[in-house]
Amino acid sequence: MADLTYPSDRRYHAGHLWAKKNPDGTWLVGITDFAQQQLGEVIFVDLPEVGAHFDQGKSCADIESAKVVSEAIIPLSGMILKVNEALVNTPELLNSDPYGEGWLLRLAADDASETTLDAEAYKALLQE
Amino acid sequence: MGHPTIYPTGVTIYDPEKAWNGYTIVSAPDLGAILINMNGAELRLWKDVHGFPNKIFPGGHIMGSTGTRNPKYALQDQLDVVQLDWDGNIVWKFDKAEFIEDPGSPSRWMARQHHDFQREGSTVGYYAPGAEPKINSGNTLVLSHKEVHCPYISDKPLLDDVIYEVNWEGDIIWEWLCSDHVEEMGFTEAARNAMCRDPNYRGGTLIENAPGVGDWMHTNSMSTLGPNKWFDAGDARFHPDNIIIDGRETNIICIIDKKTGKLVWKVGPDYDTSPELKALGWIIGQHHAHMIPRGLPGEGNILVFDNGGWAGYGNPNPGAPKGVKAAQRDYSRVLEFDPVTLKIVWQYTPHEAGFLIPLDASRFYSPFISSAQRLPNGNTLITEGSDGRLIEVTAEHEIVWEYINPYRGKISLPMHMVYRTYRAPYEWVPQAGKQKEVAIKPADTATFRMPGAAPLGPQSTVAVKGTIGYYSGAGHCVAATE
Amino acid sequence: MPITLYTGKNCARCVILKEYLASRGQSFAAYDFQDDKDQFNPFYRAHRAALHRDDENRLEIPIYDDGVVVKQGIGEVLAYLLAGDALASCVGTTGVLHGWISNLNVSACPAGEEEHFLTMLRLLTKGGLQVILDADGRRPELLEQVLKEGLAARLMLNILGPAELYPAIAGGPLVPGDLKKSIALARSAKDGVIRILVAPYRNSAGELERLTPVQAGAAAEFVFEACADRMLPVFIEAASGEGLPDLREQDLLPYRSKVRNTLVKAEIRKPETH
Repeated sequence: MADLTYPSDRRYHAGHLWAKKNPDGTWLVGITDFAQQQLGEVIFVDLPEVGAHFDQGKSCADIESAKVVSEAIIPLSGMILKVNEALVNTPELLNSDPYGEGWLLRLAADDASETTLDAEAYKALLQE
Repeated sequence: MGHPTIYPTGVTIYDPEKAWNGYTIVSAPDLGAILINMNGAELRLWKDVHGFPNKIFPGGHIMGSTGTRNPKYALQDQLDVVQLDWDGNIVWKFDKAEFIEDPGSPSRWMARQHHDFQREGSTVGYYAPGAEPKINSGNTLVLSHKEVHCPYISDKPLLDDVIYEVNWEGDIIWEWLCSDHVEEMGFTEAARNAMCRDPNYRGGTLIENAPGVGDWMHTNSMSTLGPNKWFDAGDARFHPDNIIIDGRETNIICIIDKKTGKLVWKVGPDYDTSPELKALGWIIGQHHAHMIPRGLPGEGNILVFDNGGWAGYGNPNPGAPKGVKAAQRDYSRVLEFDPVTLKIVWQYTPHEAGFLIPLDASRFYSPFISSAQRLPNGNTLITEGSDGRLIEVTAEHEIVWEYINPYRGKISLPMHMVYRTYRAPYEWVPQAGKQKEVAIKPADTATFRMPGAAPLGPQSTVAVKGTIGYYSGAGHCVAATE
Repeated sequence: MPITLYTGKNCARCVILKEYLASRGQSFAAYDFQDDKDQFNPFYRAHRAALHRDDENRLEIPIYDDGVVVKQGIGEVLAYLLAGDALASCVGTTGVLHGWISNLNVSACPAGEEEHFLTMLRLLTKGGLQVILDADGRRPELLEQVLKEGLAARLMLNILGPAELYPAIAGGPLVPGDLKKSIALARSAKDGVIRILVAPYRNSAGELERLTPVQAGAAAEFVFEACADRMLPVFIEAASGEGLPDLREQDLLPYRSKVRNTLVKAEIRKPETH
């Protein structure tokens, strides 16, 4: 656990995904270090359609490892603008760089004031 | 405590102005279900109808059972639950819980019911405005026994409590098993250790050669909450369909969520864990814990006969060397408390009865059975069960009716015991006709004499010089509390 | 065609498969599904839709790929190697429960495939797996052979409905004589369980249905006519059905009432715990 990191430049959701605001006002969404560690080596990501809309807390993608299949819980309500195509053939990016190259999708948030956690609150949640 | 050998039975006190007048249904040992009026006239005996408990329903119907299972093979199992009309005809019956083959008895279906049941329409089975138990339809909740194995409690065979919801056709449509929820009850390690060794093991104690089973919870009351102000105010724990039970052996009173089966509210098994529980005090071996139904004074509060006696699992102590029956008290309390704040709203204890605690406290004491019913005028009908003493007390604790059960067990336990009684309005029994209400003033016990006994008072008196008279409230060997 | 196996560490069922292929003189390549990601991950992405996971999302292994078909799970793979598709009806998803293998139905074994079915059970048992064998009353003579050889650690005799519903639910008729023999075998088998299984099936109109309480009661009568023992220890259990809401324990109470009209000892069986 000690090696896992949670950058403070983004917001977190109890479902173990993060959202980071881009300069253009859209949001980049991915899974946390904790989530990737729990999943183990990711071997497939079932990504949503661009244009699809999801409410906060709903599953927007399936992330599969040899060990488990896990639902990706969207941290903010919004519409999918783009998905990370690189994950189709190199899903292990989710493990190697969950906060960078392993991003999941780009989102147009409905309401950025929805309740989320900051890095400290998310870390506290993991301690429970 | 020095009970007299000779005393009057039947009705001994009656104030028709202050009592809530009606009929009372009493289960008499070895006899059957008796309906009495306020002067104690035995208007109707449903002979050999057992009652665990008997209840009186509108239309002059009673609830009870046709008999009890041979106690050699089970504890307190009723063969069935029956609804009988005024003429003793079976109107409704439930027995299809378990098919039982006991040696020497014909194989048959048995309800294995014990301690309680409730018919739809009423939450607690006694009178409340606008909430009459249905007599021609409706579901019935039945508290029954079932053998289980539950290693969390003990490796020994257990006698568990199960609640069935039974429809008018007699089919079980809902079922709740107590041991499934033991982990929600909050037993300490000490309690679990004691319970594991002895889960109230009843083998070969009361009855020779009886099979050994751990009657670990001994649920003795089961009723629904019904509409209440707590739920109306948004507290989902008190959903009207939820069920409140209490466990004599565990000192727990708890509410079961009807939908999920989970326990959503409880007091016990420990009463030392919060200031509120400490103020409520240890409820021990309690009976008949229920929510006072809507429309009655105190509605929404919990009314319970807190027996005292000996119950609960915990640390070994001088009174309970193995930690079984670990909490003890030699007097009873009837408590009405707020289920949210746990504050006591009303009580009837030896103190209110006029008996010094602890010196004289055991004069209000039934260590087992017993009940309390809230009446529409704010009075409370209390069954002090072990001696078969029924009292109706006002909110100000005045006894306005007292009845001593005249029947003593010859085949069953040699006591005057009455498990539980209910008062019903006159309208519920139209067949009985109009009843006379004759006041019975409390006799002056100082002058009340048997034929041949000398009258009160010294026949001659001598004054002694130097004596100084008496102090009031003089100290004694034991300090009085409260 | 070269055979590729995807296996795991400490996997008894993978060993069974490797040894069986070796005994047939067939060569194969075997990769660890977690360690050999360069082989397994592309295979997984290409065949993901055809692979199944259990209730806890675990991937069942071994996985067999001969370039033509992909088969998953030791039961399915062995049945395929022994008999092509002929045994498909009696082998389901065999599960990854440690040391146990389930969903093998002796009663669905087609005529002429008995020896293959027995061979499959022998391989599994010899390989150290405990077989939970399903039966539905049909093929008692084959069941007897299985029990005689000690090829079933547990026997689940599933009563799927009254006689008239057997063709629709089980895929074939059940005659009372066979049911009688099967009940006797289940009662004599160690750990034998007789249960009225409330399972989904397609009715004559092709719609998905499940047994009703009244039909379960009729199934109990069918059982009673076969065994003449109203004290028969019998359970009632729900099988989950795709497209139908799961039955909870409380939902089974009306079934129990109807069954108890004939078989008085009927109890609801809680989901399997070994």
